[in-house]
Amino acid sequence: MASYLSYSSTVILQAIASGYQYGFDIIDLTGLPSGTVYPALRRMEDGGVVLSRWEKPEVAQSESRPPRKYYVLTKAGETALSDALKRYRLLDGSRRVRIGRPARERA
Amino acid sequence: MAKPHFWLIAIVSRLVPRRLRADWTREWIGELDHRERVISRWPRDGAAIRWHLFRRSLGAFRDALWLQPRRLEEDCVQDVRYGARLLLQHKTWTAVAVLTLALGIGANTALFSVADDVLMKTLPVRNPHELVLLTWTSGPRLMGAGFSPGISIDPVTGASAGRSFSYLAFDRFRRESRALSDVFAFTTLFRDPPTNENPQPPIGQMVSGSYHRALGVPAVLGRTLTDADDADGAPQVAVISDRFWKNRYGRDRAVIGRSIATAGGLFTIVGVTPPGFDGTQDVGDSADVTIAFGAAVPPTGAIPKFVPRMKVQPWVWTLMVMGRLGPGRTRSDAGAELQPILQAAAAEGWRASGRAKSGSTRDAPVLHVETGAKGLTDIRRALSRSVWIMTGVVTLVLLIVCANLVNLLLARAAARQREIATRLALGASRARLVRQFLVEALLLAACAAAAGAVIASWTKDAFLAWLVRVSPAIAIEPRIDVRAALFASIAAVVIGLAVGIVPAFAATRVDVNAIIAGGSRSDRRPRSFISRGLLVGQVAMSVVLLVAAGLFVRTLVNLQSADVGFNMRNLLTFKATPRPDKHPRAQLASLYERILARVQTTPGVVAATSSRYPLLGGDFAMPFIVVPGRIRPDGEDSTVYEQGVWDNFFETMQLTLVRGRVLTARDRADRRLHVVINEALARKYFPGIDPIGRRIAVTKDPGAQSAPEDALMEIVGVARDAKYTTVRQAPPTTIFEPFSPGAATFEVRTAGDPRALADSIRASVRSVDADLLLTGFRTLDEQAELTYARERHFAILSSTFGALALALACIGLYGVMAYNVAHRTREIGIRMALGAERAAIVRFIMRDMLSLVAAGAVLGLIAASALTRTISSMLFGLSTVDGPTIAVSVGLLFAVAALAAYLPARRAAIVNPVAALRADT
Repeated sequence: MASYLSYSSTVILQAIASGYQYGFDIIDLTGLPSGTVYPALRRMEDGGVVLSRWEKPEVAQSESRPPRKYYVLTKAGETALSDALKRYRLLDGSRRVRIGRPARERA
Repeated sequence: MAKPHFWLIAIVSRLVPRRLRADWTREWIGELDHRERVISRWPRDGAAIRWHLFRRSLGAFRDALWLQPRRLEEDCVQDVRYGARLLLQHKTWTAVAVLTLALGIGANTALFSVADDVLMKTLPVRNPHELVLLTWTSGPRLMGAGFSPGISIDPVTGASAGRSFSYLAFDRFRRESRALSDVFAFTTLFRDPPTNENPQPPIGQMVSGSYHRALGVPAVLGRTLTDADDADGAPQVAVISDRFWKNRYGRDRAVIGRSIATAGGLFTIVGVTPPGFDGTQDVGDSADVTIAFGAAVPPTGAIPKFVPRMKVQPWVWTLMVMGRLGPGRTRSDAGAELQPILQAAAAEGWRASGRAKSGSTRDAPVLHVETGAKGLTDIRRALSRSVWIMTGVVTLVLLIVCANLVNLLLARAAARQREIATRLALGASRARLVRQFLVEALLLAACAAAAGAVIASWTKDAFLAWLVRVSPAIAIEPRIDVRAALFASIAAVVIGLAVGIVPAFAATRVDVNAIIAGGSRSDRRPRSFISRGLLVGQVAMSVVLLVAAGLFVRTLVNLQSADVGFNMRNLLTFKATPRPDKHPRAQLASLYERILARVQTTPGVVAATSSRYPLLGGDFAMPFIVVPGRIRPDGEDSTVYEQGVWDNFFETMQLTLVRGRVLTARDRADRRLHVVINEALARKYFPGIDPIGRRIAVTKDPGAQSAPEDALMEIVGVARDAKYTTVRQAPPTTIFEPFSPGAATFEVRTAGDPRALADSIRASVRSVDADLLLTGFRTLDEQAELTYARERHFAILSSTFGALALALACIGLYGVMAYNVAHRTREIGIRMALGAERAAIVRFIMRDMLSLVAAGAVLGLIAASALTRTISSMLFGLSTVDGPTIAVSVGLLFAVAALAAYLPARRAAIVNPVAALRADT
């Protein structure tokens, strides 16, 4: 993904950087529909901007539910995000809000 | 509890590439499950929860779709590379397959282009579907004269139809029509006679000033004609066609302002029309030069002599008229509006001619408005039949080729049993393998289509030449255009899929365990059934083509050897056209006398004579006959052929008389008093009585029952029936009159080859008169052959393709046979070990194959008897069920098939039984 990120992709990246790393959480935060978010995530994964990981099985088992997939920014992704934020000045980095640490780190 | 969102995920997951499916499903289920738990903690209606989750899961559909291209891309690229590598590994096999398929596709594409041009292409003008063509029908008593082009008359009712109008009618249409937003007119093509200064005069047409504008044809250089050019006394300007610009001037842009000699005068070139625009004439006819009506052309030009006077002679109908419908108008609107205008103009013109007799009414013309999208369409209609027949032939060959290809692919696939079994065992899905085979077939087809397009561009001219009678301006450009390329591509895809699908499925239906375990005893039964079925089909199609070819060839032979009733050998014929300024009518008779006398003294000439119309030339006069005292029964066709002949005509042509005497020089001096009729006329109008001494007359009026005394002619002789017009036509009722001066055809009987004497005979004529225009030097054989040129072309075409089909079918036969034998090596070995002799083996193998051929032959004969009905009208001297043709076709088929089957059979019989038993098949 050498060329620039689209607006919605930038928003999604920002959500991930803000700690909303699960698919449905990104959907909730950004307000974009699932039919937009997931293809964007796949595209960005192809381009090496994000990485996907499965949460630790123990975490899921402790809550008796299937495991979830979460996404993290790569180094390239962080660069791309900061470049994109410069372009989409409305999404300025000062709006980064951390609500809580994701479940994986609690385990 | 029902969880529709999970069902949705399960369904949509089928779309996801298998590799990613598990992961994808887990991701979605993981999210949905977690979300459900979170929501359930809040007090919410169960249905609302489910609805929320369902809506969320709808996005999975888009997600799955997004993953599609990735799958297809990767897999397809892999398939293509693998397929290409395989094809390159077996170069000869691939080359043979691609070449035969390319021939089939190429021929079909060429034919499609031709059919497209001839049948379907509309004029390359603005909105061709708004264009209309005006025609008319009328009774026998016409209100006009000097029709150009000619009209057609029904011989029984006398009803006439035509498409030319008077200038008066056209002018009124133009001024008064509201339904047509634009009206334009054009004449037939003309060409000045060649002279020493101008040996190749261009073909021209005269048009109204609105011609180019109404058609919406721009100029690529200079300008097109305008209404100002149409005014009387306007400067003489001309617009040339792109083809003429290319051929005569090499697309030199300085052509504007140069002069060109046409229509007896000099015209200044002012513009060039775009390439691809060939005018509104019939297909194959195109004008090089277009000039406007206003041009003051001398009456001695080549234009039909009424054209320059059409403005002052409103009873002369020489213009073809087309128009463009106004917005929202229909053809019937135009017809209703113009009909009274036409009838008024016709009546007025007829009155102005001075020939209107008070008390006698003429028939008013009825206007018809036809679609003008394709310009004139007479030749198109005549050619469409030929095009369809050629299409049928070429399609059959293509089908045979495809059947061969299927068999080839089946054989190849059977040889790859091990590979297929291994891949299946390793987890490939059957669908995947089928796709692999399809991709290989499509690759083959794509290569073949590319090669086929090249072949098509070469052969398109050949097809065209066969279709359109050779005219000086073949106005169909020999190139392959976008539509044809599209056709070839679609054909390739369709063929690739059709040909590849059966082998793909058959090959992948394997018992994996059996193959991997050892010995590749594949399930041959379905495969050989398909092969054998295809073979039967191929043989059947070959039989159809062979029978058709046989019929055409025999027709040709019959035509060539038909008895024409007179001695056709060693006769040279040529046409002489006198020029009105150099050859006054009164002196023509003595001129011809001198010419004949001089020609007869030329060494090698036995005799020379002349006639008004050429024999076997298809050209003749057809008035109606009146027999005084005989009442013509209703509905009787009373046309007769009228030929004018010189004194020694009957002796020179060796056309015998059965009663009475020939015409002599004295009859010529008397003019029209004594005539000779032929047997057909005698049989029809004087059955059982001696016609000698009886009197008849000819008239242009089909309804006439009597004739004035001074028009009656006395019969002095009855000639044997002979073919006068074409070889096919039965001898028509004919009257031979003494020659009257005008254009003439000369017939010269020579001692040896007439062609060798053509130059000296021409020189003899020139030595008498150098101004007489001499054309069409050919022997009577060549003349006759022109009348059945189409039959000859079809004989060549069908024989070629019939032979090709036979060869292809036998290659297929050989291939299947060789493969069968190779696979039955063990069985043969057993038989031989049990004591069968070589000859018995050969017989056993051949019997199997020939029974297939026999089945195919029977099927083919049944199909042939049905299909040849469509060509029955083209045959001559034989019916569609023709014994010798069928016998020869079937015999040829069996002979070639036996040969194709014998070779592998023989090879099988030489096999070493011990080696055969040990063979791994």
